[in-house]
Amino acid sequence: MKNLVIICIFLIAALAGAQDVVLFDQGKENYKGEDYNQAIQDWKTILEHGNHSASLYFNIANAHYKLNEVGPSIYYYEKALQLAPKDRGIKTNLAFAENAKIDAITPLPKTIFSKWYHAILTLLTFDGWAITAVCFSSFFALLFLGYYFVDQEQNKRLLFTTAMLCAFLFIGTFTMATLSYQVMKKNVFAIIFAETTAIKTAPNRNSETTMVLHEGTKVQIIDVDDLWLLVGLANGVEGWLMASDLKKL
Amino acid sequence: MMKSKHILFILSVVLFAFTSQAQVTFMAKASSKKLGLNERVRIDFVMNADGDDFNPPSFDGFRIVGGPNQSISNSYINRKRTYSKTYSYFLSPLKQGNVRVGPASIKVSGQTYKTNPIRLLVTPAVRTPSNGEGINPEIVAEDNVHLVAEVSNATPYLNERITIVYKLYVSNDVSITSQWREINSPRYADFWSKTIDSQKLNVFEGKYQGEDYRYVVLKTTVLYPQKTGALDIEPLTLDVPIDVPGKKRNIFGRTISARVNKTISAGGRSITVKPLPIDGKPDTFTGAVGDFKFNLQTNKNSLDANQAFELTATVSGSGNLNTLTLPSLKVPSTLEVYEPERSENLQTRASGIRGSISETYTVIPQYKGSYPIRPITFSYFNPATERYQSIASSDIIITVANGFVASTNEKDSKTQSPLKELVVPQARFRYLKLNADLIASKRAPFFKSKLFWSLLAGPLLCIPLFILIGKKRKALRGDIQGNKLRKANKMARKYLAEAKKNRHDKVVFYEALERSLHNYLKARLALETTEMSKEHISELLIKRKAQAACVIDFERLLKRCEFARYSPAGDVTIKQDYEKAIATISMIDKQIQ
Repeated sequence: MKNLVIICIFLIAALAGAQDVVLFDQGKENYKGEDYNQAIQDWKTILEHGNHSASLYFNIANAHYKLNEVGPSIYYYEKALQLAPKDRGIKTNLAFAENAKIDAITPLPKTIFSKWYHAILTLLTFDGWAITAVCFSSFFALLFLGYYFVDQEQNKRLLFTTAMLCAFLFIGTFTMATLSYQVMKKNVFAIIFAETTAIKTAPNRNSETTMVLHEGTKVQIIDVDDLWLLVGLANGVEGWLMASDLKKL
Repeated sequence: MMKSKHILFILSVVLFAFTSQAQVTFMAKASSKKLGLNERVRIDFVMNADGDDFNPPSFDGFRIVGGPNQSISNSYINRKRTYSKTYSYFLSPLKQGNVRVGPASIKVSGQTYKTNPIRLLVTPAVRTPSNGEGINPEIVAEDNVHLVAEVSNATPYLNERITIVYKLYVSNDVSITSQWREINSPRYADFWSKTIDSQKLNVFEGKYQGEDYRYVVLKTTVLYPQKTGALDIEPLTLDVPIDVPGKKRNIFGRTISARVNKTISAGGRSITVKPLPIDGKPDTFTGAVGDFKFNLQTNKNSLDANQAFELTATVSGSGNLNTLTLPSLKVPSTLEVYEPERSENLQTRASGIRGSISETYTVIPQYKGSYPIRPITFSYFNPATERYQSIASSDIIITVANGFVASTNEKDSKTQSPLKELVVPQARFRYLKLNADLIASKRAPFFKSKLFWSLLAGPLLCIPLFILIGKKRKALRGDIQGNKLRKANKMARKYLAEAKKNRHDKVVFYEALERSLHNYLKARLALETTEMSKEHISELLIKRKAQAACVIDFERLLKRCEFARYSPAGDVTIKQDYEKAIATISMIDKQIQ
């Protein structure tokens, strides 16, 4: 009985997966036929089913770009980049979409060390770092045990050295995973969907306006206060925005 | 005879009348037979011949205010000469009652003519005095000329157009033949104003307080209030020369007019300017009031990078076009936009400012791609409907076909310099990705999951575990094979120590060996010496799970001990037996429980 239920669940899951692939292809056909709205609808149904991929986000973004919807297209390109941070195609099309946005925000210059740090940190996702940490911990354990049990002097020395190296790498990768995780938790980004929105100095409508932002601009969410979000821009400006004006990445 | 005399007389008179001008008339005329004490009367002494030695009467009871004014008129009509000479006096009565103006005299060709006396009635002072001519031209002028300022709307909204039309009403009784002079031109503080002076004064027929009047529109002023509240408008004041016709007519039958300069003013009033309603005021409202159309146009829809195109925002209609601000353009940041060029095509009429204003932006795209120009919204207040209205321009999409694509990512540390932003020179917009590669989107992160921690800590915890196990295994292995054996060996050797000492003496050795074996059994199996029979020992050992072979060995060993005491045996057998005893005891010791 229990087996039957499990089999049923797997079947349904497999069917749903197959259905999503069909939807994906259907979306491609609609896109080809320049029915971008229908294509978006197809692809978003896949998202509703709880499946995603960089390709899916990329395609949704392309369709939005074709409809000249800057905010959504940038949003989905960014989503795609989260899953495939090194993809050239996504970066190229994101550049096209960003050309069409209204705000030009010059990021604050970074020091060379922070650039290096960032480059190393983004080498892998935090899950990637976590997996390498696990690997190194296993290697270390194996090598150490080898060192402990092997009697031959020369082998013992070699095993000890490699074990220590693995221990070092293990600590390193674990630290990277933790840092990367913290950065991920801290760096919650959002894309502005409202055509125009004002950054306020305080979380209420009557407060002073610091800056006016437009659709498609990426902001970092720093804090939340009910319906308002404290956001930071790449140029160092901070202020409050209505949560309804943006969409979290 | 009598009859013929009459006819002759008439004939002669008629003939005389036709041929002679010597028939002299000399008369006195008063402008009015009845006058108030505060009025004046004009007395004319008119003759149709050029007389001289005019002798006026004494005018008792009057004061001479003006005169004598002498006027001569001489005209020829159909070769007939008409001559008249008038002496005029303006008199002011000094007392009430009947006053007699005595006769005046004149000499014409030596003959003296006299006027008949006039009787005048002087009444108490009247309210509206007239001077001598019967009608006071000042009063006539005042009653017959009116300056009117017509305000189209006394309670306009802020920036709503109002028009003031200055009209000069002139009745049919008076006329204006000379140019008037503006004494005080109104200044319109707190208004934007434009005065349209009438180029040509067209005379219209109209009614003023129910009576037929002629009027001219002097000027029209268009005002746009710039402030709310009660605003005062200064009056327009004119000095108008008015020709008031008198009762008198000249010899051609025309009335003789008197010119009166009159100061008239109108239009000094207060206008209450209402503020624009707050309800429904759009965010994009910048103060336009009127009725407008708005659009945004481009001259090109597709071009290459670094070529220019123009975007023109135009507001047309009527309203405060001169003061309104056009909504500013919102374009993607990668389009280079220059300051707009403003052009106006406005006409100010009585109905307000009409026309169009436009701002033309020159835009140069730098990178290729498609650029949606977001609709911009122009809002205005329509005072006719008292509502705000917003017009959004339509979406414009500019397609830049050829050119560079901007830097792929501003976060890329290597692409900081502007030159390096053009790293992707001829990149195309990528087509769809064709492989779905779908994965579940709601995957819990591996990092910090239970699996992660266990996989991470597992191997590390394995290290001491393995070390411990290693140690234990070593210990275990030692106990079973080595330690236990060694212990049994040690015990056997202890029991056999005496036998070993005496291994050169055969008899003593076997005695010692037997004793040792017995001692061992006593110690291990708690046997009494009395129970030491071979059968019993075997039975006990087997009960304690010693192996049968060992038991047999043990028995054989005991047998040999007994045997060897009486039989010859060499050193070799002694040594063998000793070794065997050790092995057997060890074995048994290991096996028994």
